[in-house]
Amino acid sequence: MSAGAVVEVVVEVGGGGEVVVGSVVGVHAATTSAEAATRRSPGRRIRCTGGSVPPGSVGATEVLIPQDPNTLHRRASILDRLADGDDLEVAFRRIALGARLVGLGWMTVLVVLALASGTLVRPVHGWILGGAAVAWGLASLAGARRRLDLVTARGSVTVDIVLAGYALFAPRLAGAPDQLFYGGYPLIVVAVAAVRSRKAVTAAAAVLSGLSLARLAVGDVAGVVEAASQVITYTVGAAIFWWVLEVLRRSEGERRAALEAVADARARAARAEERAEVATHLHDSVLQTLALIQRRAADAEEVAALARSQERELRRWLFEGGSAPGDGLAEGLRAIGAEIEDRHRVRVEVVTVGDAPSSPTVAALLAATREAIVNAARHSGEQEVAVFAEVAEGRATVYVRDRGRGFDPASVPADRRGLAESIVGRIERVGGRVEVISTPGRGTEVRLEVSP
Amino acid sequence: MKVFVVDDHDLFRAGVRAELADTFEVVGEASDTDAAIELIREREPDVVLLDVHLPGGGGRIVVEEVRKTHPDIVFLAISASDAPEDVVSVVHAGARGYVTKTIATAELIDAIARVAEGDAVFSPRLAGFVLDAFSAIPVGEVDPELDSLSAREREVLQYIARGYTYREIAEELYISVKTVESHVSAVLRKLQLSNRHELTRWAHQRRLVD
Repeated sequence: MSAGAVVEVVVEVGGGGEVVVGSVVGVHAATTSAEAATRRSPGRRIRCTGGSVPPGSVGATEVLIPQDPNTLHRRASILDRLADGDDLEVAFRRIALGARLVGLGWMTVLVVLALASGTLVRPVHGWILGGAAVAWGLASLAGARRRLDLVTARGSVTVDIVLAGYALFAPRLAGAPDQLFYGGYPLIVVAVAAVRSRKAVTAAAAVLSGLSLARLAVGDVAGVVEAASQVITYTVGAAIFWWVLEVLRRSEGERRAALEAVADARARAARAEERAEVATHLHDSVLQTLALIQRRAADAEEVAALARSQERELRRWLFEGGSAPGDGLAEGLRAIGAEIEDRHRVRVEVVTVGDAPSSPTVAALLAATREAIVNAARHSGEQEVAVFAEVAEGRATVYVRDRGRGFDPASVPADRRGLAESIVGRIERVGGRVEVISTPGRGTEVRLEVSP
Repeated sequence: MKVFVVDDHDLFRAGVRAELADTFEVVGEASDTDAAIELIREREPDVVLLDVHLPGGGGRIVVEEVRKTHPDIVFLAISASDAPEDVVSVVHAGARGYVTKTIATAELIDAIARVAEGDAVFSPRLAGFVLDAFSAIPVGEVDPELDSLSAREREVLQYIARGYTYREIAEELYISVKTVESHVSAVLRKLQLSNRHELTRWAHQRRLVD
């Protein structure tokens, strides 16, 4: 692997979950990032994936394993599932989980009381039912934490029905048929099944009603009225749960469709507005300039100047979102270059590396640069001026260069001495330096340096 | 020498074609990404003058795709846009240089001839972008071979950004033009091999400023 390859730093957290700490470039960066991750979460396994990073290069942490496509796939599928998660269904499942825990807890309390009273001939059934209720409750909780659906999955509903059925018959099996273990659990099972599907809720109601009738047959239930009330509770309960959920689901669907329609309409309006804005801008700027260019077609210099200033305006609009210019060195130089291009009919190529915020020193540098560019535009006889500014290591340096006629610095003409003075004076007052290099016939370069 | 022109602007293409016709054989032109890839592979020009902005993917895709099958075809990027991330992505993909659309005809012809001979052509603006890009790579993430410039390379780039030609730089530094060219080629190679991720990050930051 080349030192510059992208390395993904992955921290494995408890329970097999993983957190991507970040993608970084190069072994050095991966090492730094992994070490930082180790400090933040000591004891975690840390892997860098993305290539054969040498083992042990990440401090005292885990051996580095090359990229494993399954890991990436697993992570992607978890993310997909989260993204697909329907808010309403997530809420339903959460409520169902809570209800199940209440039902299981209720049942456990009843079983524990029966065990404590010592009325059970065969207490093993009490232990089995209580243990199963606790285990199933814990499993449901653990599943929710791992984002596994142990609430409304088909198998889960089956477990609920079987457990509720067992709870109905456990007192008889334990030799104390007048005890009551199930509490509200069977009705809750019907409700949880309703969250899953119509088929599940029908099956739950049917099975539990059937078992209630079976209890009547074996004599566990005192009379027809009690059995019938149980059957009615489960079947009517199933119908009511299903109906409530359906109403909520339907209204959620309608709400969602309405939201999408609104978002769609808004996006369309935004696009139309954007198009109108572009049209307006082009009309006010480019079309006007093109009309001007046609009218002044005879004046080549004027046409070039119009085209240049339009190009600059359009470019600013396209790439800077039409925002107001900043006031640092780079922006200041661009503004000065633009102004002189328009006024003196020369092309000013401004290149900047780095930037310095506005300050009295930067203002002096800009003013001096402006003088230097104007000088070049007026006296060089050339159509191009190159301006280069670099801010590095606390110094700002500006070069203004033309390939024009140049001059002999030793015999500066009087009119140029004054201007040189306004450049040199400005820069020296802020503690900077000016250098003018010029040879007749070979152009001029002015070098301005300050510490902003 | 065979030249191919890719630009989505009809007038610009026609203009460039007319300008180049006296010096080179213009073997074709294209106005979008897919057509450019197909026609360049068919016509096999020596140099492709390639607009950075193109419908259907952009200049970068053209360079990447064509170079897979025809590594000898040379690309010179040209654009009216100064968005540095676009320019740098095309150069990073393998273009041998970048010039702006305001370039004079004689200079364009010279630039095409130079990339055809294997030289790198850096406009002042590209030199500025590159200096900025390399100075933006944070210390600690630097691979000295690829992610930093030598003092001489920086110096040469600074001269280019200041508007000096290769010949003028050679005179200033008392070295041969060939040496200047080899410095620029070395910078181009570093730019192309240096990590894309860092350059992209730089370009995004820079875009907010430029």
